Amino acid sequence: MVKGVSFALGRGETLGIVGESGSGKSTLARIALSLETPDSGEVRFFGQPWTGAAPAEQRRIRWRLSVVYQDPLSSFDPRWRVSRILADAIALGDPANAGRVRDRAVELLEAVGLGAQHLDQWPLRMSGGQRQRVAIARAIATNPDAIVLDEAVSALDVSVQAQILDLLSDLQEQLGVSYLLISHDLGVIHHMSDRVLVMQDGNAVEQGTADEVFYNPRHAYTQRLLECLPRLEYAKLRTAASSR
Amino acid sequence: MTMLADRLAENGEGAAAASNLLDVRGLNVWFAGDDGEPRHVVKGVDIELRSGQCVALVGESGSGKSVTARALVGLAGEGARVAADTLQFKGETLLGRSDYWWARLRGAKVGFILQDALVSLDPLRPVGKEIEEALWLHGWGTRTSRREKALRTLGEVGVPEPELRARQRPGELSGGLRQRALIASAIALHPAIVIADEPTTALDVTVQAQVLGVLKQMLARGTSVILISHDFAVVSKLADVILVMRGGSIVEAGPTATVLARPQHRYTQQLIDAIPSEHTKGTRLSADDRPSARRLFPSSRERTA
Repeated sequence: MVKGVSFALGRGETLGIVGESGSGKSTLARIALSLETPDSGEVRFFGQPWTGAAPAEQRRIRWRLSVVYQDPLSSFDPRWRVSRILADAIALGDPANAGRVRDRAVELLEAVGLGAQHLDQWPLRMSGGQRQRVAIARAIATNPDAIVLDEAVSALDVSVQAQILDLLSDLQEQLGVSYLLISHDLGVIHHMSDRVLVMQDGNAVEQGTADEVFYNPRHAYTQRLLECLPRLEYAKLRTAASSR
Repeated sequence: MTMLADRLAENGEGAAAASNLLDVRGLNVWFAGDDGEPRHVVKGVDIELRSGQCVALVGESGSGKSVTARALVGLAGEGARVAADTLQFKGETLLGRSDYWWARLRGAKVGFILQDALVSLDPLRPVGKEIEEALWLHGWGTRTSRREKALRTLGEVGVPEPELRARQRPGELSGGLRQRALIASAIALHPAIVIADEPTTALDVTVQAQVLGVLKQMLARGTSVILISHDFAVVSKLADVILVMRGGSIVEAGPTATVLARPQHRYTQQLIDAIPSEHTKGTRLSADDRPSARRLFPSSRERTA
């Protein structure tokens, strides 16, 4: 599935992972989250062994890594209201804080552009954008050091996607959190990422800064991927429009 | 046809109207609301579609673009009320038609492609049979000729090894093959119009490029396409005309290049600005004036690593 891939994620940095379905990008994320164990190799978290660490040790540091998926409904318990979803995550990050869970939940909701009025709502009844905001509130509830964003904006339409991407940029600036950003949308990847890793058939075929990879792709696969990208060619459009 | 003749006599715009495959003037759709009050979801929409032309309906979720497209094929939905000053396909009115009449029209003259082929295709039926059934429903050909036609259509939309693929069920196919199988079943009878609702949204960029290629070929062969999408990049590759919808109304309409390069409406500009790309790095994408997280989120790095 994934072969000989190496990468590092720095503090406050966004690493974009691109590739087609089946290229292994989500497997990579699951390994980073230690939901899957690699056959060989290792993941270190703050220099400490992470995959293969004892379960107790993993539990001790798991709160420092969180995740937002494409469809938060699949990761929310449908019987839980927003307040309980957040309370659960808050307790995971800081059990001692249980006394002021409600205040903290409101603080989190406000941080993602929602508010106290959403505490009693059911995720099922919320819009896609609102649901993704709740998922992000949950992801930051533990003050994580890194968040895996696995196609987190893929299901949203362009206006809502823009709001969520802006929110993620704001949160990164405010919290210093790192993002492992997985997306098949090259526009999203370029907009958000400091560095980019290109995956094909389980191999990392190219790695570099976003500008290096996008403006000067060295690997044939990256070049092909970029050629497939439908773009808005403003220059061409302007010429066409003025000749009318 | 009498209706058309009357209208032409009235308006004296015979030539223009006659060359339109689809003529929509003042389309309105209402749904029954939860509180009994009808909800007005499509408000006075005009669409003109000529042969081989692609018209794109662009807007965010809830803008009414899908309902508009569905109303054109009699699928506005349960409890929907559809009214229009003019709603004509090849000069024949589409208003007040029976379900049977619509069933004859759909598939044969108008094809429909939805976003997610996994939902639209029967999971238990091999994709070849799906296409054969579409042909059978319209009384097309014999068992043998339908089978040949299904294979040929799969080939036309770029499905490699059609004989093998025709025997497979949707779940056994990749996303791109599934979407192409769905397109094949929509165009097998060479409909004059294909309505494509977010046909590439769920697909990877390489697969998206393939599906765009298939749609382009269809246009080149003279099929007209109504494309519903929130992706301006995709729209810019296919559409001749863009209609930007918001809150059930068209807020801007014009040739694709003009609308994209010189949008007149603030909302169109917002939609274009919202597209992330290599040019937007470090900028804000949304016109969202919600208080930013920066101000609201108190210093929270109490616990350091």
